This record gives sequence, structure tokens and C-alpha cells, in this order.
Amino acid sequence: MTELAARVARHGRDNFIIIAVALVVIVFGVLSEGFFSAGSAQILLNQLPTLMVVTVGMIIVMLIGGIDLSVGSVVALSSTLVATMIVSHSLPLPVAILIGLAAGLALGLTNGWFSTYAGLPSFIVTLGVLEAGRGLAYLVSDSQTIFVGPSIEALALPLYGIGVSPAFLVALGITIVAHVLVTRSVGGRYLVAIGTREQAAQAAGINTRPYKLAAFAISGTLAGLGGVFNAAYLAAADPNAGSGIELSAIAAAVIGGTSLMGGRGSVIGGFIGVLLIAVLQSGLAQIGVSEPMKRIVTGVVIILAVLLDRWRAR
Amino acid sequence: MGLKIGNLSKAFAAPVLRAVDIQIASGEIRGLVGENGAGKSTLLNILSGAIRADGGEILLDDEAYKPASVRAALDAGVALATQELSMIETLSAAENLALSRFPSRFGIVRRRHRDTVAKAAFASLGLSHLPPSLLASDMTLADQQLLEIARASMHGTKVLMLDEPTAALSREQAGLVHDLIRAKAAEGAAILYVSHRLEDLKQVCDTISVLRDGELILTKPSEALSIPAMIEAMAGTFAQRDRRAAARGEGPAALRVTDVTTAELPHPLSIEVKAGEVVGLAGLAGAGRSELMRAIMGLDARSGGRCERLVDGIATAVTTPADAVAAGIGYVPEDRKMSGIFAGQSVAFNLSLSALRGRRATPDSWIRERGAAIRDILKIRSSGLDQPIEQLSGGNQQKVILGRWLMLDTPVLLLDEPGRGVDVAAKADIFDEISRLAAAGAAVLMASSEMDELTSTCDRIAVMSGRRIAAIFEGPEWDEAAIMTAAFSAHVGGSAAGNEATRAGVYHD
Ligand SMILES: Nc1ncnc2c1ncn2[C@@H]1O[C@H](COP(=O)(O)OP(=O)(O)OP(=O)(O)O)[C@@H](O)[C@H]1O
Ligand SMILES: [Mg+2]
Repeated sequence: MTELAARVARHGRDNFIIIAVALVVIVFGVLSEGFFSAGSAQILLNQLPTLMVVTVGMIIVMLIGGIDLSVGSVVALSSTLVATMIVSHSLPLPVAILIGLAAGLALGLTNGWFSTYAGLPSFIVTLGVLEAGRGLAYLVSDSQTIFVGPSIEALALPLYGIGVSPAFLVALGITIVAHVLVTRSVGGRYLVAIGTREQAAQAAGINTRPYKLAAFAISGTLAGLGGVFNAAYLAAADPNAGSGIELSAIAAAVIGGTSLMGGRGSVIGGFIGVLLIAVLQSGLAQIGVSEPMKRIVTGVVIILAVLLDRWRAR
Repeated sequence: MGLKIGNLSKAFAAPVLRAVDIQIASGEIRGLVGENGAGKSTLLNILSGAIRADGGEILLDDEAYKPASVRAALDAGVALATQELSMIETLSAAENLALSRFPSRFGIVRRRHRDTVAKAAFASLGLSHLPPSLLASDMTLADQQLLEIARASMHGTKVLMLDEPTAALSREQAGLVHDLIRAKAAEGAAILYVSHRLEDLKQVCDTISVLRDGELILTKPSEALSIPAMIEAMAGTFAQRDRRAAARGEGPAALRVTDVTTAELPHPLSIEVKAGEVVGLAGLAGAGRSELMRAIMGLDARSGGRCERLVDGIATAVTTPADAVAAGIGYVPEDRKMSGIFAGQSVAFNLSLSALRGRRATPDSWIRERGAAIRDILKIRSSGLDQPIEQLSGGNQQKVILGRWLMLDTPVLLLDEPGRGVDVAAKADIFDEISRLAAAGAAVLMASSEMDELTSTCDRIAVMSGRRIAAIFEGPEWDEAAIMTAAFSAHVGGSAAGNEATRAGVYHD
């Protein structure tokens, strides 16, 4: 019993966010008819996979004390590449997806190499890649939205019986695996160590640079996967896709207890942060709040959530 | 068998190691002494794989040894417990211990195994009270140091190096470290032990080498080397000093602490320091000395009591650190790495910081002039005032932090272990300077774990035990046995176990 209480206390941070999400859901449930319907939950969940995987990557980079601002452009590049491969080159879907992931990996490695081996701040490197990646997406797509059609859309359509899409299931699986790896694997512990005090990690015999490179590579690859999910959701590739997603991912990560200073982070917390933002946005839309108000409320809630979390952690 | 170092050299801006030759046999305990900045840590860091030598040759068990990284050195069985502690604050005690080599299966940490190993390692260093899941950020400095030593000893099967391992430890804890060193040597490891506590080295080491300005001056069996001879070899000269000769006149009360309590200090504490007086705080690890200073500074929230700074009989209350500094109270913390230095900034910046208070512009010429003077007084060894502070040797960093409060004539000084990591000669300079400040009217409250630092400098010594002030002694004649008895008084029987019991209390909540 006391052990259980201790466990609950240990996971208090996550629980706190869960309570916040629950509160938001209840508020909207009261305010709007039909918010509680299974249908509305499904629609909500099936919008999330892109942000979910991008947030996982962001948290891993934030754990080492870095930041990845390029994820939105990687989403766009990957989704336009996948679409072009299918539409113009008639490649089978799995091959096209692999190409999208490879593009993400390549940009992730670029981010990682410059911020790790060349020693540049990741904020600047990934800002550069944000610009260049978007340019590449325009080049690949000729600045046009590319219609792909049902072959890829299947990924985003609800599965019969469970109501959620394959994309959501994959994103959920990745979130869980990433959570286990961060908390339980040797590599995950190393990321935390590096993000807390890199010199001390080196003194303990950790060769830090490969791990830092890997963190950026993972983030890039996951953003590439996010691009695939985005193309699936739209059944088309939009070269403007994913713009601003880096900020949503950072917000979700921070709401979930990840520190901008590195060394502290929770993948599950980030997932719940994603839920909070999504529930809030769709709830506000459902009760007919105007777009400007929606953005103001979302901004206030993000700051409040982090503030409450800080205050609670004392 | 063992370690053979030939012709080793290293230069940063200036040469730091010059053609050093050292041989250490397996099972030998070698002491290494030298002034601050002599190059001891640099030598150890080369062996540990943290930095690369410029030239020379190292043989480990007759094979060429040239570690490209700390990892490579650990894999070769060479490990260093560093001078600047390298705990990861966000990881637990057990994780920090396992950091160099996590027990794992398919990349996943075997947590139960990790905790079992941790408990065994903790027990051998008197850390049984430490829960394996405790975050390093919540551990005391002494416990972090012990953990660092435990980690190194797990990997240093062929060569175990310790860089001032006992600087933050009590006598009893140091004894446990010495037992560990002897056990590792008996298992066949070559030990390289750097310390400024020369008596310890004489007791524990088989042989002692002296490094001066990057050159190996001598190596002798420790029985054949007296402490004055060691000091002379380190510094080139040796002069015994007597600090208490300069008698001081006592002034009016300058700092008054009345019935202060905090979360860590449950019993009300009162103490008064007069202008022109040095009051020492003696006690065992965990007795509450650092906590008392933090409470006075307002760094830990007080649950009761008052602190007042008195000027000409007029009292000003001190509740926050800003109040304290404004009232002319300077504080040198115990842990320079975490709360003392501003890494990445120059020596001048680190010296000037508290002197800038209340000024509109940075008086650059004044900082340089005064900084150069402080540098001379404390014999701070740096390439100039613009050198980044983290490039200074450990002892020289300590001097800079103390120097920060000497930039202005700070009337009240709280010094927590001001002599930590400082070489014998420089320590004498520091305590001379403290005496001189008191003679000029400063009020000084100084915690130290070294009896001779206290007895040579203080007018009164307050002994803390179990977070109370157990007794106050008046100089200039000291009854050291009585001071020790008072320090143990909170622990009936005066055993190390009693000490541990109170220390365990630190982690109680
Ligand atoms: N990274 C660096 N860059 C420039 N100079 C350095 C660097 N590291 C050390 N030094 C210089 O090398 C000299 C030797 O430093 P080292 O740390 O080896 O001294 P030490 O003998 O360990 O002294 P202490 O007893 O104070 O720890 C010092 O003068 C120091 O300023
Ligand atoms: Mg040193």
C-alpha cells in the first residue's frame, strides 16, 4: 500500500498533467453537446500522429540540452518526397515511405553533425535547416500540393473495430518504446547525463558526441515519419505542411515536464501535453470560439500548465 | 608490472608538465604532492584519458598506453576520482555509481542488479544510509565525493587515481577512503593519491613524489620524507609561521544570530561575532555548520529567529542574501563548483562580481588594479586576469572566490572551508590574510574540518554537534581533546555509527 502511494507520488508529475487534461475534457463536455461522443474522440486522436512523433523526437533532443527547430520543414520535405515518389515515379508505398524517412534521417544527421562535431548551437543550426528544408520541400513539390489518393490515406483512416488509425497506433507504439528507452535503457540514461552536465558525463567515460548525434538523427527520422503521417491524413502532400509544429512540440514537451535546459524530460508527459493542446483546440472549435480567441486561450493555458507544474513540484 | 611514465610533457598556454618520469608498481600506494597549479591534476587527467599529452611515453603492464578517451582508460583498468566532482545531479546515487558501466541486458539497465552493486559499494564507504534512488542533487558534498571515489574504485583495477579525495570529508570518512585504498592496493592496483593533507599521505602511502612547476623534484619512501622536507621540496623554501602572534583588539558585536531555526536546523542557534574577531565553527560532517552559514545568509528559509548586522550598535535585520550582501556580509560557500565560480567567465569577472554592487558603471581600471593586488596577496596562479576561471587549478579557483570578498573591505565574512584544496603554503597565506582582515576590524565566522586551521587562526571556536552548538572554547590556548569530545557529544559513545545516524537524518524527509 505504501509502495503504491510512493509510486503514485513518484509519478505525480504525470498525474498532474492527466488531471489537467481531464479537467479540460470535462469543461468542454459540459460546455458543448456531443463532445463526449466516441466519434469526436476518434477524430481527435486520428489528427495527432504527426505531432506525437515529432514531440517524441523533440523531447529526445531537449533531453541532451538541444533544440530541433527544423522538424516542421522536415515534415514538409518528407511528405512531398513521399508523394512525388508515388505519383511521379510510381514507386510502391513502402519504398516511398523509406525515402521519406531517409530524408528525415539525412537532415537529422546534418543538424546533429553541425551541433555536435562542429560545436555550433543547435538553435542556430536547426534554424538554418528549417529554412533550407522548407526550400527543398518547395523544390520537390514545385510549390504545388500533390494529390496522392487512397493508397497512402489508408494509414490515416480508422481501423474497423477499434476506431483509431494505423498511424495513431504506430505513433503510440513509438511513444511507449521511446519512454521505455529513455527511462530504462543505458543510452537513455546517457542522454540524461549529457543534458545535465556534459563534462561530468565525459569524466564518467561516456563518449558523448555519438549520443548527441543520435538524438538529432532520431528527431529527424521521426519528423520524416511525421511527414508520412501528414501526407496520409491529407491524402496529399502540402509543401507548407508542418509549419509551426516545432512550437507545438516544444509546448507539449514542456507541459509534460521536459526542461529546456536539458537533463530532465518525460516522453509520456509529452504525449499528455500533446493531448492537452489537441483537446483544448478541438474543444474550443466545437464550442464556437473564434480563431483569435482560440490562440489566446491556448497560449494562456500553456503558460498556466507549466506554472502550475513548477509550483506543484516545490 | 605497474605504470611507467617516461618524459611526459604537456603545455597549455605555458608548459604545465616538463619531462616527468614516474614509475609506480602494482600494489604500490604513491602519494603526489605539489603547490596549487604544479600540474598534479593535469598529470592525472592525461592518465585518465580526459586530455592528451604533448609528448612522452606511458607503459601500463609493459604495454604502450595512450588512452584516446576516458572510456578507453576505463576499459584498460585506469580510473580517476576527479577533484571537481562529476556527479550528474538528475540521476540517482545508484545510477551515478553505475554510469561508467551500466549492468544491462539488450541495452536495458538491469535495475535490481545495479541497486545491489550500489548497496555493496556504499556499505564499504560508510554510505549505508544512502538510498540508491536518492538524486545526486540531494546528496551532501561529502557523500558525492565518496560516491565519486566508489565509482573510480570499481573501474581502477590496474591504476586507481584519486585527486584530493578527502578534501570535503571528515576524519572518519577519510579513514574509510584510506581503508579502501589499501584494499585496492592489496588487490594489485597501483594507486596514485594526490592530496594537500600531507600527514595523511605520510600515513597511507608507501612512497611520495613531489611535483614543482611541472617538474618531478623527488620520489622517496614516505618514512624517509618529513613533512617540512615535503613542503620545502614543493615550494623551494620553508618557513614556519605563527599567526596568533599578532594579537587583535576586540571590537563591538558586528553580527548577531539569535535563535535561528530552519528546516535543516531544528534547534534554535545563537552566536555572536565581534568586529576584529575570528570565530571558528568546528564539528563533524553533518553537524550543521554549512547549514548555519546558509541560514545566516538567508539562503535557506528561516522558520524562526533573527540575524542582525550591527554597525555602531545599530542593528539591521538580514533576511535575504541581498540584505546580507548589502549589510556587508560576504560568504564563501563550501561547494565552489556549484555555487561559487562563474565558469566561462574570466578571473577578473569572478573577482569583481560582488564589488559591482551599487555601482552604475563597471570601473574597469579599478577592477584591474584591485584584482592584481588580490592576485598578489593570495598568490593566485593564472596567466592573467582574463584567463577563464575554469582553466585555473582547483586551489587557485578557491583563492579567487575568497578574493572576491577582499576586493572591497567586507566587514563580515562567512567562510565555509576556505582552505579546501589549497596547498600548504597558500593555505598559510589565506589564513594570514584572514588574520590580517580581523586585525583590521573584520568579523569572521569560519567553518573548517581541520583542527589546525581553526586553532591557528581563531579567537573562539564554537563546536557544533547534531545541529546544536555543543560548546564554545576561548583561545589562545586550545584543548583539542575537549573540542573533539564536544564534536562527538551528540552521539552517545562517540562512534562513527553515531555520526552516521545523524547524517542519515539529513535524508530523512
Ligand atoms: N584547460 C586549461 N587551459 C589553460 N591552462 C590550464 C588548463 N588546465 C590547467 N591549466 C593550467 O595548468 C596548471 C596546472 O594545473 P593543475 O590543475 O594540474 O594543478 P594542480 O597541481 O592540480 O593544482 P591544485 O592543487 O590547485 O589542484 C595551472 O597553472 C592551470 O592554470
Ligand atoms: Mg588539482
